[in-house]
Order: sequence, then structure tokens, then C-alpha cells
Amino acid sequence: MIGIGMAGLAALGGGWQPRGDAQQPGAHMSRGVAPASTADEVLVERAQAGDRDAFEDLVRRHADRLYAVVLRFTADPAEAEEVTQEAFLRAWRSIGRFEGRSQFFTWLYRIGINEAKRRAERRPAPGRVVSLEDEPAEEVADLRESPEARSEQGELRARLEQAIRDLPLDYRAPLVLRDVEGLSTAEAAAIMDLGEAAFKSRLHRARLAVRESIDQYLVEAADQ
Amino acid sequence: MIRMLRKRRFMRDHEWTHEHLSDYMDGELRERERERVEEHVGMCPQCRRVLATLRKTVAGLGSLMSPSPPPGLADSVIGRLHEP
Repeated sequence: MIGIGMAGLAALGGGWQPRGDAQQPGAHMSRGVAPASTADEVLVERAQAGDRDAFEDLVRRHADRLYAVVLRFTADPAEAEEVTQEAFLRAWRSIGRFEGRSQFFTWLYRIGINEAKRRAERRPAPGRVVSLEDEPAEEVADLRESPEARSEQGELRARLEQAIRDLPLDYRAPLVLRDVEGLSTAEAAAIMDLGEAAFKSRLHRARLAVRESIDQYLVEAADQ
Repeated sequence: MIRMLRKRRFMRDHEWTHEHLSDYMDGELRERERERVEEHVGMCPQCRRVLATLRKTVAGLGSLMSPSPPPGLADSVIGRLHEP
């Protein structure tokens, strides 16, 4: 099952806006949940004072989106769920050290992505593209074999997803945060703890690599 | 001589433009820089093509679907928070 795209839903500059479907029914939902208008900053302050309920509101607000991000760095959905859990556990343990110089979700995403990257680096290296200098994988033939097998949009999405997975992690993160999640350059650079110039350079390299992988598809689609 | 200088300038602009196409698309160039890109793209079919396909690529990335989280994800996280 596929949910709605997140690019465009991100509340740029003001933190994530909670989605209406963010709550899940369950044993921990009996108490009142903070209103959507309650700012992350308020919940963070309460959590820092030891209010676990406030932190649970932050979990409900950000868990789904954090999962969607880390899934692009993990081997499978089960690992993405583990990483999401681990990121929140770490955030709760160190909430007292969060100084509020960045937004909460920036800090949280950094924890989640670092955890996902740490696990990814422990996995055996894939036998596919590992460098942006390499030639793109020759998969265009597959597309030609069955052009009618899937819709153009479905095919393009599948190729984009594969191109994202083929990116080295340090290049994948800028692309996912900026172009898939729709964060601003400043927000995404902050999550990666990079200066904006370095971030933009990686983002451009990543875009060029993805473009290269789908270039022939784009030309074929334009020709049709 | 003039032809050689023009060619050299073209190549300088070509490399510079290729490096800054993302900044151009993202609206992160100053006016003079933006004009430099536009002027070069206007006379360079290769950069025009890269820009057009980069735009399609970024548009495609923005339209990717978000994977649905597993049911009860937030509750499973909260459950972990309650573990001793």
C-alpha cells in the first residue's frame, strides 16, 4: 500500500505539520494528544522537563515521516522500523542535551539517518554502482523488452527508486531530503551537518547521477 | 584569434553552467549568474538537454510516493519507550 507523497506536505521553515492520520489506535492512546497547533518547541520543552507524554506526542507527530526517510537507507521495512524506534529511543535519552538551535525534526532526522547509515555501512557492499564516477547501470534494455508491461509513470518511479538506491549514502541523503522530502536546502544541510555549499555540490552530483540513470527513458518518453 | 577566444569563453561558461544547473533550478543564483546560465543554455544544445532532463528528474523525485508505515508504528515506538 502506498501513501501520499510527502514533498509539498513538509511545512518548510516551520517544522512538520502533523498529519491527520498520524495517530494510530493502541494501548497508549487513551490520554489526550496535544493539539496540532502545539508547537514542537513546546513539546520539546515539556519533554526536557521529564514529561513523557509530551515526547510521545512528538513520536506520533514524526514517526511516520521519519520511517519513510530511513526506509530509503535501509535494507527492508523491518530494519526501517527498528531504526525509527532506535532513533526515538536515542532522542528521548538525550532530549536534555537538545539545545534547540535547530528544529526538533532536524535533530531527529539526523539521529535516524546516522543510525540507518551506520547499519548500511555494516552490510556487505552491493555489487552495483558504488561511485558517482561509475557508468550508470545498463538497464535500459529491460525497459525496451516490455514497454507496455507497466505504465510509464510506474516505470519511471521504479527506475527513480532504483537510481536512489544505487547512490552512495552520502549522496543519497541530500537527494532524499531535498528532492523527495521537499525540505529546504538549509534544513536538509542542517540535518546532514554540512555547509550549504558542500550540500549543494553533493545534491547536484546526486541529481546528475539519477538523471544519467533515467536519461534514456526520459528521451524515449519525450519521443513517444 | 577572436574565434579562439570565443571558443575558450564558451567552454568556460559550459563547465560553469554544468556545475550550477541545480543552483539555477533551485533559484539560488544571483542575477548575473542566472543570466550567465541562461545565455549559455540558449546557445548550447547539450546544456539545454541536461537542464531539461534534470528538471524532469527532480519533478519525478518529488512525485515519488511515500511508503506507508507499518500499522501502529508510533505505538510500537512508544512501547519501546516504556520498556525498562
